[in-house]
Amino acid sequence: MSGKVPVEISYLTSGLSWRAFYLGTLSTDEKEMRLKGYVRVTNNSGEDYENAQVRLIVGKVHLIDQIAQLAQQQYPFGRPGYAVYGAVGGAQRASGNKMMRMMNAAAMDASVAMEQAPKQVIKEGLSEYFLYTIEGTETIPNGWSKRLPSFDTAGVPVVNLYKYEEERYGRGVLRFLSFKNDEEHKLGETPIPGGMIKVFRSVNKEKNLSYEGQSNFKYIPVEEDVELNLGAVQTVVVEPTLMEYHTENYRFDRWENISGWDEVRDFKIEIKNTREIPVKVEIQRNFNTTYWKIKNSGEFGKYEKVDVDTVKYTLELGPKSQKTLNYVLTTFHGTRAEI
Amino acid sequence: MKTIKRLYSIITLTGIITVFAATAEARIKLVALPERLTTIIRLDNPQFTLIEEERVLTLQRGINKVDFSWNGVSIDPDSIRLAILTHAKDVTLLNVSYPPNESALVWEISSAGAWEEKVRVSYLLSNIDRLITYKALADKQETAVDFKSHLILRNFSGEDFEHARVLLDYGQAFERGINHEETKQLLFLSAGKVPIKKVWKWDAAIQAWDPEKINQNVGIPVSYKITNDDESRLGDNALWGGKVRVYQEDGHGSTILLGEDAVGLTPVGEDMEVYIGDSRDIVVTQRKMLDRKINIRYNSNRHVVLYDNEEQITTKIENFKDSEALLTLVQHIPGEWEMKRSTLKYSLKNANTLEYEIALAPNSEKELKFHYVRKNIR
Repeated sequence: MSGKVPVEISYLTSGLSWRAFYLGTLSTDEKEMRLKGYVRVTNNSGEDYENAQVRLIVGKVHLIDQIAQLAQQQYPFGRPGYAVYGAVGGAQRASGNKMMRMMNAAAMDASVAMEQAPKQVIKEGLSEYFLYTIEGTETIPNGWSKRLPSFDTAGVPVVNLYKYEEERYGRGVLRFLSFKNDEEHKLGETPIPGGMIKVFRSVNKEKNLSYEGQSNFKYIPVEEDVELNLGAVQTVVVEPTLMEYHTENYRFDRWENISGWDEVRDFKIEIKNTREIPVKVEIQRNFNTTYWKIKNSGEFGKYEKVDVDTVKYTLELGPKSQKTLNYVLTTFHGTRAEI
Repeated sequence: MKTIKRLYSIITLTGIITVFAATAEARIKLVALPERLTTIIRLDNPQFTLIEEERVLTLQRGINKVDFSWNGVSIDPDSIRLAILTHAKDVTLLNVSYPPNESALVWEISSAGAWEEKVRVSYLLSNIDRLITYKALADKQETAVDFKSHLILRNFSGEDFEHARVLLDYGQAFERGINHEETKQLLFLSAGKVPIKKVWKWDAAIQAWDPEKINQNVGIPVSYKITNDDESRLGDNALWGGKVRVYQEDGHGSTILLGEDAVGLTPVGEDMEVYIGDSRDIVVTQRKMLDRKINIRYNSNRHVVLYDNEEQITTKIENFKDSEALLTLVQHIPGEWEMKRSTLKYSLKNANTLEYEIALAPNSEKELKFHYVRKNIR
């Protein structure tokens, strides 16, 4: 056969990258959120990609080569006497979080430019990864980035969760938005790639916005809980106060030195919600020993032991309301811990 | 610096891709900027200022490319949002492109018809913020204040806002323009005859115990307490933190500055405590009258392993003023302790802090004695 033969040339190139990015818009009552996902593709490869098909891989792909380094090699497979794959033990190995593949397609027909809807991103599982294929083709000149819509889900139920944990967050209250990547939350079809989310709130019928905060989150598998940290707030206040302290049950050894004792601390925690909407508050308390007992009183909500030295109180507070919980913590020291 | 912001549309039906691919390095920027219809400056988030502006785009049927660029201003590109207002169902934002080395983006918009389209562009803008200040004018008797709060709008963003609606999360909206490098003070809260409580606070951990031994006068901090509630003609919202200046009518038609303080957020129902200065007309002298070890326990080597400590404090409070005064006396007892006797009532602020509220008659003197045991000291 002679004549023109269509061929496809494939090669690895560097300088093409992408990141996921999200915009959340809360309803006025903050019970639901419209979640829009985007992918922003950046072309710094040195080459203009015109009418290219864009496919993105979500996952951690193991690579042992630096493509840019390979491109500069004098010989494509190196030469004898020189290491081909870097140092021993893979110290120079590179792993990519995200991969991108662009394939040049045929020149676009004028009618294609008449498209009326944002392109769909087709998501499918592929081995341990997820493959995002952007419908149709894209033109991304060298140096340009392009943001493409990935999904748009309205009415995702969310919970305003406020957390207090001195050892982790200091003496302030942090605001979280929580939901789950599952069907009940109108999500759950695919994992959600990690990225930055900016959260706004719709403040009126005209859909004017208020800016609530932003958060970076990790890759969210299907069925996983999501907690978006929107930062410190002053509108929900948690104030723990040590109200009483004493020691008791001293034990002495045969030399009359102290060998054991108990420490009893009476804590009061005041929780105030100054917001116009109901909120959920989680308070974690960490103890400096694994030998303890606790007695709760007041409005302590749901109490649970998180681990060997941590407990958690979860409370629901109505709009502009406050609650007080109390607990008496007894810790056992020395020989008292052995009982 | 004058901002150059262009918002314009490049309209073609076909061949746009070629045009862009060929002219990516030097995009044409010549279409006149559509006037802003309305602008909202939203200041409810203390860290970030959100701008919303409405403009009218002239769209053609098919694909439209709209360029939004900004120079000399700091806009978070990821925060830029475009909302279609007039034909929300028939106009769709397809994607956003970002040219290299420019503060700009290009929206690709699909329109089902050729028409004027009102859109709302929102973005987070840096270097424009607000401060809150309070001014309290006390009457001669120091029983109430005229309470005003101002919003200080500071615009160093690089952007001029000829007309804007300025909003906090509560209070009235302001219809004001503000130019770059301009600062505006706007009154947004005013309440007359807000009751105040004047309090003097002496803290044993801060103030000197024996003023006679000090060459200079020992001042006792004086504060005004304003409760953020209905009775105070306040209480609709939490009061944001800010600087408070307190003045007083001098009885001659003028006012005197009594002092100023920085306060934090005051939730509804809570007190705003404004420290205005020190008083030298109330004198507190405190002395420890007893300090001894008791209940000593030794080990077999005759070393002390555990003991209690018995202590007694006597406090003399003198009011040299011709008026009554309410003194808060703060005492601290570290560790584990037991009160044996106190001549005045106290309230427990926490395990180691006691507060005595002592009402003092004009030109009077009071004495407090309290006797306690610190326990199980090693």
